[in-house]
Amino acid sequence: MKPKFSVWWSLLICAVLVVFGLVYGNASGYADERARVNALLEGDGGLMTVLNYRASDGLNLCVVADRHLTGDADVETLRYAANAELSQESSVQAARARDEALADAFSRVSNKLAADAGFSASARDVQYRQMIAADFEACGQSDIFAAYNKAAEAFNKQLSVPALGDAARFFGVKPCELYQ
Amino acid sequence: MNNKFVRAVVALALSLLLAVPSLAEARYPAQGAALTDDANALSQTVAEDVAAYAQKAEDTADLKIRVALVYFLDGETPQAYADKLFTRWALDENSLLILGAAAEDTFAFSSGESVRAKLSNRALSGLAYTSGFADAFTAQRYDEAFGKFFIALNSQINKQYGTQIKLGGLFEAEQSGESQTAKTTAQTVVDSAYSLWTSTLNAVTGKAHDYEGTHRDSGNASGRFSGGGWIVLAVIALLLLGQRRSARRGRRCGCSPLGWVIGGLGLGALYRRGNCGETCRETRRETRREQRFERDRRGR
Repeated sequence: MKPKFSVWWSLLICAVLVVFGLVYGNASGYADERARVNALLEGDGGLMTVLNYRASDGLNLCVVADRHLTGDADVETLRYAANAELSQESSVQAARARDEALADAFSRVSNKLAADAGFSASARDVQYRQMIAADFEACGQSDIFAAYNKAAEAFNKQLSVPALGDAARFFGVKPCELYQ
Repeated sequence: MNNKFVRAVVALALSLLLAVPSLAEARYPAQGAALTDDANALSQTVAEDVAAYAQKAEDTADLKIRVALVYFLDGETPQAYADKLFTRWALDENSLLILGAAAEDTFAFSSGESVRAKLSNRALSGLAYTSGFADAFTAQRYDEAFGKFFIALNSQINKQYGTQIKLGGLFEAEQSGESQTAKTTAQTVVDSAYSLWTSTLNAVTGKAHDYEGTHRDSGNASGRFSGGGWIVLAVIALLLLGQRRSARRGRRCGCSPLGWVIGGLGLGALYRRGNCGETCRETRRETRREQRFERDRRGR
């Protein structure tokens, strides 16, 4: 038994489908844009990658520190903070907090090394420390942080547009978390 | 028994907890020719000798030797870094990768299946220690280390591959024993900036700028209709409304474009207007025939 609808019912269904298509297309546009912003965060060469480079720098500093500060608690703290940064996936804010802890530990070990006589006597390790610290600093000042925040802010602004943004949120598009 | 089981479970849990899986990738150098010396550890002469020997080994024994020298391993173990680099560089079963981390005083080997059958990792590590490579490498005497290793490796390759590769003038200092006199000189020229790290960070910066450029070009139009979208919408509206007026002149409703839309959305089956296809048409024809027959009969 085939269903029969009058012309007006068909037109109504057609209109509903067209409206749904437009709303869904709008939401999908928002989702695509969010994916692009997210690529700046988690994609290859994104913000999280830069944080991982800083963690790698922390581990590299541990290699140098191990030659001079044997069994030092600060070196172990740095190693732990760097491994935590490398091995955990979580929110932007948690990543920021971990990076701050890493920067603290890095700074402590770096200063401790500078004060160590054995370290100062090794021209090679002094140069390695400078090299690692320069990269750690450069990573911390990477343009990716500003680019991500700018993109995330622009996206959140778009998502707050009445009707269109509401529809996108209805379909599950969430605002981006800022790295601040 | 129970105690043993509990201990085993606790040991397994602890080992799983301690074995923190690394989600991040280390920074790997881009593949160069036979030698990729990102740590600037080798002198020009030894670098040329390594390249020349790698060519000889490839021509004679079909063995592709690749040497990678970096400063740091970004928290990876030497073996893991070497294996990942081997995969990243897409080296084949006839390849042998010799990795050295200058700042960490460590090295490792990674090789393809065919090479492992003749030169196992264990044999290569043994060769590194017996040839004096390990001692010289950890003492930062890189020219000496690689000279000694390649001389020993050549003998091993000739033995295992049945070849007669002659070193000729390659690694001359090691062959003549000249390096013994300058043994205490460490090659510790550390760059102020590591090119591998700088290029990796530049790639990240490039990505950020690319995004900003693309975003500016697209006019920030995501989530809304683009110019093209509005044009398509206007054409559809004109098609629907314009057609309607002209079609009225021909005493038709002018709603055929709506029919296209309905049909395009798969609603054609629902749009019937009392028409049930060939069966209905046949029924109506039959009815008309009967009515005509009835009229004729009455007329007679």
